[in-house]
Amino acid sequence: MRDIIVRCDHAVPPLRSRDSQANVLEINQYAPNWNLRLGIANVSHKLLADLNTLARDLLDIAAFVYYADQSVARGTEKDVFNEDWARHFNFVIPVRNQQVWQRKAVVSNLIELLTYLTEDDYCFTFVERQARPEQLTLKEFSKALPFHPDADCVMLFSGGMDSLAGAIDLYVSNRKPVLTSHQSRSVLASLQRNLAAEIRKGCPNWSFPHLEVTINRRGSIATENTQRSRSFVFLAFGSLVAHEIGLNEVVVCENGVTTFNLPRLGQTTGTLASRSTHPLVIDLFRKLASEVFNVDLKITTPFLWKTRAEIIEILKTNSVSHLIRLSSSCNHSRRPKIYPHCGVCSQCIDRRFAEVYTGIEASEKEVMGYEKDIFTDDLNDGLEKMQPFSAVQFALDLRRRDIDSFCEAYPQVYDGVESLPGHSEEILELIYNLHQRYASEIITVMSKKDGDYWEKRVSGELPNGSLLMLVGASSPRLIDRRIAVRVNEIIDRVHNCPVGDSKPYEDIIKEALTFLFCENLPPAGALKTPDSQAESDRGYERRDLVFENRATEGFWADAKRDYDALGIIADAKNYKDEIDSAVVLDFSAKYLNELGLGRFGILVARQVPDETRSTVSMKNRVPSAIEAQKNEWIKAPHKMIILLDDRDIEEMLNKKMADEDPTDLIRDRVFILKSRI
Amino acid sequence: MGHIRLGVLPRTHKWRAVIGLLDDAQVPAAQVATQVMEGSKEVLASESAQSSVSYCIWLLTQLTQAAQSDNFQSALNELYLQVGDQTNASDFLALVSRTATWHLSRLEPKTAFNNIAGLALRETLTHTIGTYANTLFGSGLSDIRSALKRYSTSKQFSNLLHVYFASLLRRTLRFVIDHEITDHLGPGRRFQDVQSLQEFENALDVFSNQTSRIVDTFSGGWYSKQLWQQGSISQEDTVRFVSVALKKLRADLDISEDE
Repeated sequence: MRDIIVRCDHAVPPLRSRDSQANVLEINQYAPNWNLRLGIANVSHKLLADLNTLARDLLDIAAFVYYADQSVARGTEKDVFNEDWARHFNFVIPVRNQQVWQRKAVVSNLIELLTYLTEDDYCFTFVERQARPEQLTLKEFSKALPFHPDADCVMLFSGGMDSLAGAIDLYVSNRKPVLTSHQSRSVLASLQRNLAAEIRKGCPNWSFPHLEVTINRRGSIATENTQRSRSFVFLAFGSLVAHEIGLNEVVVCENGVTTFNLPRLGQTTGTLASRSTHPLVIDLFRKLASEVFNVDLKITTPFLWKTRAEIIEILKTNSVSHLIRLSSSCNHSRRPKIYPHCGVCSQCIDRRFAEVYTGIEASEKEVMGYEKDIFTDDLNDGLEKMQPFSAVQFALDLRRRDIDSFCEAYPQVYDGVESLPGHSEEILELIYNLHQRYASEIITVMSKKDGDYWEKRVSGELPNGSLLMLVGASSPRLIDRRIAVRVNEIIDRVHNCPVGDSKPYEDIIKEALTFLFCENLPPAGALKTPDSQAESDRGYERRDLVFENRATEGFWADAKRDYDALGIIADAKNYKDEIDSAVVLDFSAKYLNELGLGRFGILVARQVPDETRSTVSMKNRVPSAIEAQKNEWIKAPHKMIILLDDRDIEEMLNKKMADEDPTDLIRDRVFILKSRI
Repeated sequence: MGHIRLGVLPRTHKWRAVIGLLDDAQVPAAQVATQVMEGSKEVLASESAQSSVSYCIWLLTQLTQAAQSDNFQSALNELYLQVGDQTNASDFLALVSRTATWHLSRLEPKTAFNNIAGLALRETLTHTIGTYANTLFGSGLSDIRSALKRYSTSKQFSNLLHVYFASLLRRTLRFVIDHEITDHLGPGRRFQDVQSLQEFENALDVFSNQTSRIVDTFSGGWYSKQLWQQGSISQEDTVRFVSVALKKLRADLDISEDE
């Protein structure tokens, strides 16, 4: 990992052994070597004059972190395993309130927040700031809005669709937000101002004061554009404005899917997917700001449980969906005017799907401005195809999963669970349901587009690189991948198990039956997983297999009623030849009795006799296994022994994979046996 | 504000070999997977990769041992997992996730593999607890204990490590292959449509499960031997075990040890 000493505003770093190997990055707000311009626009002079020194420190720190983040590259595409992604920053920052910033709780909060947000390592040394003239640039617009005393919250305003809807949503709820923005580029500033102006036109009862912070590089361009620390600037500015105005609520409007930003492809680990508004980031920042300002700051996220399509519905409901075209979601802010959206970055893709899903695209088609139409344009190999395809792949994967499988596949969901209010299980359910709705939206849009372009697709008019052609005509079966893998693996192991040695076969059959009858089933219809611990506690491995039968519905409940089956007893025979009557009779005598666990058993063997031969006399009049099975049922006490072979196990496993009931096969066998009598 | 950085495989010798195999529809998933592991061997053999896997396995040994102890709660607290009577499975998994992330983030150099190792740990525990109680939801501390206790025998512990290594391998394979997969998708390419891609991915998952079985053959023995001889398992013991386990995995896949 690269070590970088970040020397801010000419601070002198203390000597440390590890620093000798490090590079030095200088960030200065004043000469000599002035390279950072920090500005706040539209702030009243009074506000600036009174700007709390703690607030000023926080803004400085955020600006230095953001500047450093953009100054050190995170590696190239040759770095497959992201060995160069993380950096180690050793900041030396002069502050006005050294005592506050040196507090253990403040430093550890700051480091924990930034580490989770960026995955970089941080070390902070805060030194006393020498008295200097304030360099903060004040842009007083001639027609600056007067500051409004009625404001009741601060809302982070990025100029995207979610913040547009947030402003409208607050307004219709009779809230009076002050908008705060971070201008990373001048084109973005103009977009944010235009959008704010349009919001004011549509919402005449509130002036929507709009404050902006600018952090500009002077004399160099950014070498790293991932900007994982940007939301720290955003949150810092929002919270200091709230503090200065005397408000205690900051509102962050971001849809839930982007907020959690779960990986859409296997290659996305850690902060390759940004965590800008992740609940853990919000909570850690809240703690930091509360600690620094000594207030109980509230940060609310009203769209946490909404998809982007659901946010569009808010705009539609309030008849302001025409403003969507003025908002920008594209990750690439340097866009030609005619195409404000590239169409292929993750944000454009989510926006596009939401617009199609909600019907906005149909009504505003001419003005959406996507350079590439992912559905029908020929997308280039590489990233251009990867982003839109990953959205569809992600949606299909989500739709295959129940909530347990979802938590297994995306264990990132545990991050920050404890930082959200409420019961952790309810939170996981909310996250799951949010993503299920999102997946439905994506799949619905794909179906719609497929219908719209069906003729072009089948006649070969669509380019092979378009999303509709990439996904293809076949509708993937929504099979739980976890179950599919397990089924394939068990079948494979059964096939490859050599005949002879009993133990390996018994183990496989035990696994198969446990998977078939105990796992991924509602408890009312499932058998209880055999307790291996209990077996080994007795000092030996049991050869037979006993499933406790607590089922209250389905086949096993019937078995309890019809055969007194408090337990289902199974045994496996790894014989080369078909099993004979002796095996069946031995099993029956040993394990099935009225006073024990009941009269229902399963005997699995590599081969069982063909039922069509069961009524034919066998060579030398030796009764077959099938005859023994029948006799055990006929004579009292009536015992039901189900004979299964490898093919039956495979068939039941395939039924389970297809979300059918594997006990249907056993029910059929019972019927066949009884029908022969 | 959401941003996702994606990348493609560099056109270097080792990764071109993977890309070449992905091009050829006749090449089975297992062969592609083996080539991916060949290309990834330096990262997998690195100190930080071994340390991250070692930490995760060490934590699994400690959790199964905690489940055997007289006081499960206090045993967990000693692992910096502050649980209470009301702790449920989701709380527990969030706690473990946070603790593991904290430890793994301190290993240098940080690579994607450290993250993958941590995700495999979370997946393994989710699977373990979820399977025991049929679902993760509604499970309390006693279910967590029972679920973990099941894996405290040598045989069952080897099953637990099998789940872990299968997840680790599957996530590693998907991590690399997903850099490239979309370029092999669509009419006239290896994967005609999403369905054929899913079949390939399922085959990769089966490969991961089967390949990881090599670990079963000795992990149970190692676990019981350490406990028998020392009464506990240290992080140093786990480092040695992981070094052997990863070597066996490489040998099983016939991956060369040297460049």
